[in-house]
Amino acid sequence: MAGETASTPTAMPDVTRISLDEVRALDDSVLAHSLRRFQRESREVKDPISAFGAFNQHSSSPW
Amino acid sequence: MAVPAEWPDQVLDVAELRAGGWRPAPFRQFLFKVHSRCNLSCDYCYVYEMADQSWRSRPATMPAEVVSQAAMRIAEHVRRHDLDEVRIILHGGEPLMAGPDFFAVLAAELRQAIPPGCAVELGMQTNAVLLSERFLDVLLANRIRVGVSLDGGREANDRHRAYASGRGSYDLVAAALRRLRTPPYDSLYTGILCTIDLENDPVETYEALLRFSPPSTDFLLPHGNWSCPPPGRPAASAVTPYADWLIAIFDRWYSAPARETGIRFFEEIINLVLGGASHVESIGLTPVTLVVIEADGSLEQVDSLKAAYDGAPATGLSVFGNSFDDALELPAIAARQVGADGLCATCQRCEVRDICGAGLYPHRYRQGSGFLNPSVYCPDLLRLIRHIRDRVRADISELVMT
Repeated sequence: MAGETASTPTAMPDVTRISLDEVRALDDSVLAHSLRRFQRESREVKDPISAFGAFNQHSSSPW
Repeated sequence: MAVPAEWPDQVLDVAELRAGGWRPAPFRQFLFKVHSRCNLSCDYCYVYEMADQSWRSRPATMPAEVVSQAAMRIAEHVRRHDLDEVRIILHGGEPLMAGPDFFAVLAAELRQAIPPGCAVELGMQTNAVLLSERFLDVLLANRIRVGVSLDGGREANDRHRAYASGRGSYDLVAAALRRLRTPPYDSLYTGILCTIDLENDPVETYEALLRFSPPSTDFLLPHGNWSCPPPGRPAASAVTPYADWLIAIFDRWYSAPARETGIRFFEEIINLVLGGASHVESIGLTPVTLVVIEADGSLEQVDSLKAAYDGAPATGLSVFGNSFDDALELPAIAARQVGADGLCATCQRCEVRDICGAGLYPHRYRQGSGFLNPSVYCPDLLRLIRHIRDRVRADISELVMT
């Protein structure tokens, strides 16, 4: 099974090193949207697991 | 001969979890099976075409007394847990078969019953073939948002999403989507859900959906499990047909100079890769806080469990005899709220454990051992997550260095 042949992943760079202004200045790409969302949720939500546990969506239902 | 216990039923000890400090998260999402029949006859449907056949014994439309009792129980749950927002998801069968008046009554009843300090958000997932202007007016007046199921272009969609006669549904759905995109109804439009068929070209499928300018989309893995594998996905094989299919779309979507739409599954994986949390049950370890109310008032776990075995989603509870707190004490509900503690040893060792979370719960089922297994899609999920992680990491590295 693929899950049993895990490799050691390279660490993700520290996303928080990208400033709010830098993210705002990014283009309209998927990555830019994703970074804006991540920064917004990091700012607004102290306990994301608990907060999104509230509304993690049904796989076949509206968003 | 005694039937061996399958995890989590009769195995996961909720009292022990509580003694260890764990507390269930209250339900915040209530999925109403407002109509238990469908006007289409999609061949992959988990409600009618898979193991569970409980729909046969249920009323076609949710009776008024079930709606009232469910509203009362939700209000009770809101007060007990001091909830400030709940979501009501209207589902089926095909929910629009309940008729427009049903939705006006249901929305009024829920908003009246639930305490004023708690916001009530209503949404529906529909095949849209009955989505007339009359219906849209009712949905608009009652602030019920709409997601539509469509599997791509005409040929791709009609291969599975057809009437019992064999006639395809594409033209009717396309016309409904055009109405839904037109002001003032466009404010109701949440997006399109597409079930993956490996026979369809992935990028063509994605671009066929883009023609309807969905605010968001998602690509759903067909239901299956270790005992009844999904189409084209042999259990315990290292092949990754679904990852290959999804990666083709991911690369097309991610590389676009401007974001064309949201793709929920990919966006959740990116958010998890960045260190955030998932907002969807199909990926990550976020506790699931959804419960299903069937047309007869029975409380069930997530409805896609119908794909696992006959009776799989049943809890034995009902809005007439039980509170939602009673359901929170069930091992089957707790199993989906305990995060990594609800994963098997293979998943515990996996490098992407906290991103994957073993995927959608019904896909972990194996006859005899239950749900304490990796997803039957394990090799696909691992390959897809690694691909997305590597692309995002490369781009972030570049940003951090500049």
